[in-house]
Amino acid sequence: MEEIKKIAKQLLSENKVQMVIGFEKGTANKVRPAFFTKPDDVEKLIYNEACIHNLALYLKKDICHHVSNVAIVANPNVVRSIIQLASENQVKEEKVTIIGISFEGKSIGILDFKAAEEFAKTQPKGLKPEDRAFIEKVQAMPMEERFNYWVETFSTCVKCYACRASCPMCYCGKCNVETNNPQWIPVASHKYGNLEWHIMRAMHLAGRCINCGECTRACPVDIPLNMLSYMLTDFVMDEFHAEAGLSATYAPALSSYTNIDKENFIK
Amino acid sequence: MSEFEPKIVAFVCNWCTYAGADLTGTSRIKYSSNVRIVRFPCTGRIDYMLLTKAFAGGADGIIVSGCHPNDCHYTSGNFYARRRWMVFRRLCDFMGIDTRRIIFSWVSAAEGAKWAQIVNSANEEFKKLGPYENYHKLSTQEIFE
Amino acid sequence: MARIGVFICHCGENISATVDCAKVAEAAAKFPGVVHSIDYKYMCSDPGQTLVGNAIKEHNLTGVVVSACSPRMHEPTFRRACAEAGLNPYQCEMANLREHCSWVHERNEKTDDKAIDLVRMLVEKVKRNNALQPIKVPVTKTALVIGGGVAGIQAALDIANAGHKVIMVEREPSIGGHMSQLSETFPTLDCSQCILTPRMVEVAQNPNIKLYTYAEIESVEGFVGNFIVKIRKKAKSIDESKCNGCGLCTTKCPNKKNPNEFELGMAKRPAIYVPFPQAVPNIPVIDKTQCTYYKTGKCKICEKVCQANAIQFDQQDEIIEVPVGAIAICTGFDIKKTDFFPEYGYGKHKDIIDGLQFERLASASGPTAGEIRRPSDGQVPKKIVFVACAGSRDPAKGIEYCSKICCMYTAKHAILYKHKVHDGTAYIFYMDIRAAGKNYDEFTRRAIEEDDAKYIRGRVSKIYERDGKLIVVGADTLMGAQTVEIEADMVVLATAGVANQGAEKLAQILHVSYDQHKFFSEAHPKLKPVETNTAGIYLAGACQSPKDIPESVAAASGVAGKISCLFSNSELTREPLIAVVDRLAPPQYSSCTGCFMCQSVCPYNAIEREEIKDRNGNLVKQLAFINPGLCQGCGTCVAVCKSKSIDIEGYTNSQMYSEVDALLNF
Ligand SMILES: Cc1cc2nc3c(=O)[nH]c(=O)nc-3n(C[C@H](O)[C@H](O)[C@H](O)COP(=O)(O)OP(=O)(O)OC[C@H]3O[C@@H](n4cnc5c(N)ncnc54)[C@H](O)[C@@H]3O)c2cc1C
Ligand code: SF4
Ligand code: SF4
Ligand code: SF4
Ligand code: SF4
Repeated sequence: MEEIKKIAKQLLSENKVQMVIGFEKGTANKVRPAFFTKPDDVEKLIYNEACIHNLALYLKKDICHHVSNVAIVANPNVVRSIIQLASENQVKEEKVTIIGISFEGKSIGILDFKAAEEFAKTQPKGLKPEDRAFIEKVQAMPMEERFNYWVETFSTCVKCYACRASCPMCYCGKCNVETNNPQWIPVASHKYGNLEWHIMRAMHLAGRCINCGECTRACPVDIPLNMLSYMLTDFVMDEFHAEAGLSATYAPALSSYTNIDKENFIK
Repeated sequence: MSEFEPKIVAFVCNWCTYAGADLTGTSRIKYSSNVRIVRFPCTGRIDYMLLTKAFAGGADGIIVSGCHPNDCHYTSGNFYARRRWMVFRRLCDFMGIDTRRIIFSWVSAAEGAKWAQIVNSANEEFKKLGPYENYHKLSTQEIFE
Repeated sequence: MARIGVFICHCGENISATVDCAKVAEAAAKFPGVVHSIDYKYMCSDPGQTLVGNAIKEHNLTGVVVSACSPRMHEPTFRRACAEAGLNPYQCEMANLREHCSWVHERNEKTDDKAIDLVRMLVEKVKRNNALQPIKVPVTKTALVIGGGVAGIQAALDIANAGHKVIMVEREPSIGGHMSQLSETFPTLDCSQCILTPRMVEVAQNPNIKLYTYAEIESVEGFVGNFIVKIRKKAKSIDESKCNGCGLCTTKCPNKKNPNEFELGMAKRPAIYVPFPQAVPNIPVIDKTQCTYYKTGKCKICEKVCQANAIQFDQQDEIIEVPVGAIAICTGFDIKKTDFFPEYGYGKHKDIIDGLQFERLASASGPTAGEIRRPSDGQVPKKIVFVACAGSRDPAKGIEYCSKICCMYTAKHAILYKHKVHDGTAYIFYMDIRAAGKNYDEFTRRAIEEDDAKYIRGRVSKIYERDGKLIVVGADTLMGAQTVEIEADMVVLATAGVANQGAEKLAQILHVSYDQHKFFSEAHPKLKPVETNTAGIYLAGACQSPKDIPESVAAASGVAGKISCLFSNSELTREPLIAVVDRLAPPQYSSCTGCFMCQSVCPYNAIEREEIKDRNGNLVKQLAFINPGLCQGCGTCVAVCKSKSIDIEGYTNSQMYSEVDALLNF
């Protein structure tokens, strides 16, 4: 903690960066993202087990575009997000300083992209047992039940797009859900439109989701929508041996191919 | 009551399967008239959103077809498509969307007979499965619930 | 407001026998936006086309749907008819009522319903068509010929003689290809070198041809009429402008014990060498892997003896960039080596050779000066066995096709053998004698009847050595599969013809397709035998499949004809059915996020990065930009773009969406 503060302060005072993104104490016992621009403010920086939000999200926001360099307190999820964003040309190495921190809050110091990739690779891979159990549970349902489960689950979606807003990979300026010529996704939040919205979102995140779970945390009606992209993460790993967020030169699974991709389902 | 006739939408590429279906015609090979062919330049162009759209609109089954691997007129469009289909199929499966109702095939410009056979066997399969009411009803009555 | 005209064609009775055309026309008349709907006997006839033209003028049509045969057949016809009547040709679509409907279904109501659906689908599409202008692109009237075998030579000379520039790239130090290794050629037995050498010299002397030997294709970008090719000129260690071809260096080089590739290992050559005496150009190269100087830093004898000062040890590979308008692939073939065959001893018996080695033995300029002597001890073989179909027509070996040339050259070999070894006996194991071609059957009969070749129908199962003889064990299927054993002095395997080394890599550089055997694929097996699927790239000779010389030459002249046609216009017209990335007013500039996933999927490298900068030159945004000259219109990028920032003319999102919509929701 103290070390993180020290690094952040130094970066700001030497004007290596103009902003540090981290957490500060919020109201009640909560934490909230904070944007430090003055060395002295950094005193307010904290990191504890409540600091789970994926700060990489802010790298895509205008707030960062006003300053030329930002530093970001990055737990493994954030590191992976940044690497993934870099592979998609959304962040530039020279603009982002990664202050690495373990999930437990241990400082790892400043990471360049190379070190960040190495660090990301050492982190636990794949799905958490409880996520896998959930996926298996759904998969075990008969097809109709599965369909109804998702239709009903998504039927409560109010299309607030908090999931989208909180996902670092959802950076499109004009989301497809907002195109109206043609109207790919119906506007109203009824079962049909909701289902298609989530099919689309899952497809867009296939092979890109870094499994931070932010979308589901953000959802006001507790839809486990992350399970769709988690399931696809697994699939993409099994089938294409590709995993998002580990290499800044990663070619996303759906914009690459190999000659030996499976085709036993094709007649 | 007359027998159930499934509505089938076929999404095909221009260079192989569309031409193959032309050959089926030139060879006068008969197949089920339940299918409607939509022409795309390449399988790489086929958007999965159009597939769900077709189900929502009342299709009971879908055929997606293009050039065999290595035969793509644009060299690699079908390879990207193949991956996309793999992922889409997996997602459909997980979400309980009936993947038996989406048939993928490679039909070359020379395989007129294969095209007829693909359509006919798809037609039989979809007949067995019956109307895809689960999906259709989503987009019809329940919108206004 | 859309004003659509619908024209239902009877196609004589081809459509109307199955589809109730009048009913379809009536139904179409009620579609929203349709202001004119008729049926007619022959839409493609002159009066039919006039009907379309008149209706466009009379009803002020904004779009036309001709419902007739496949658009792959008559789309250009009706687009032209529309253009003549003043409607943008791209406002015309065709509904396929013949190939996709009347010819494949029975006459009944369901078929009529389908026809109506198809028309509705295209009406909805055409409402959303944009008026487009064809893209004109200039043509660079220079052809690139890759490979300098007989096919490449023929193509280059024909194109050059038509008055166009040619660049020929040959990977070896000399042009000539396999034909330069042959002794005499079937079916006439004329000397291969004698007919080929003059043509090789012609290539070197033709002012329209620029020849690069010892060179390979590094990369190819662009599209028909406008390719940019990078050629790697490998360092020969010789200044070609100075060398006068005296050959002193090659005679003085002390390092003379290197396997001679041209003689297929049956002779030696120096480290600095000209592959064969008639080589074009007659300029040596230094094999860096063998040269004593490159290996030890000492020697340079060639440099000392060269009076022209042409030796350049520090020469580097050079990359040359050239613009060309068309490309001819003439990279030929190769044959399987004897080590491919476990049952024939994996090539460890020196006296089991392949057909090309036999050609060298029979050649007056070869290692034995034209006498047939076996490699192991130089004896003249009195009993020789030829094995046809060695590997070919053998799915188990992965070569299921017929190599085509072997039957003929094996007969030739038997004849040549008999002419040189009068008291010898030639046996030929064969599966079938395939001698279709002008004077070909006569030729194989001559081998049997005049030159006493002993043909045995059956495969050879094993060859092994016993007391200095090669025991060839086979079956004679015409004698009830009796086992035959021949004690031979030498065996010649007519090994399968296969794709040339590096063919796959070249195909990938050129973005042309190839088959499972790595032979280049033609665009259509019958109607486009010398075209590839990529416009502006052609193929000739044995790079397509094993071919003999007459076929290779005919194909090469075909390619030259195609390329000359292409070069007869100064501009090419291309269909404007290409992709575009949207552009919006600042500060968005575009809905494109600059993720460049589209860039990685584009098969044509058509997608570039455009940088939007502010007044001070600071980068504001990176956007995808599609080069209209390069885009071929596959639409793969469209489906990959998550933000739907790309759309493709002719198959736009709104067109495809409404087509599906029209089929279902009505
Ligand atoms: C044993 C034998 C006997 C034969 N006898 C006869 C006969 O009697 N009569 C007859 O009609 N036919 C005969 N043939 C067939 C004849 O050899 C071929 O038809 C002919 O050589 C084909 O010519 P080509 O130019 O297509 O290919 P090739 O002769 O193979 O020439 C290809 C050229 O391209 C070059 N090249 C390859 N790859 C590249 C690259 N990537 N970049 C640049 N250059 C490249 C090669 O170096 C070569 O010079 C015989 C063949 C064999 C094997
Ligand atoms: S878990 Fe959710 S928020 Fe995190 S990357 Fe995946 S989709 Fe985005
Ligand atoms: S956050 Fe939840 S409710 Fe809001 S759009 Fe996403 S899934 Fe729907
Ligand atoms: S895929 Fe779409 S958003 Fe990404 S660079 Fe291409 S056009 Fe832009
Ligand atoms: S349509 Fe195809 S060729 Fe054109 S830019 Fe897109 S991917 Fe490339």
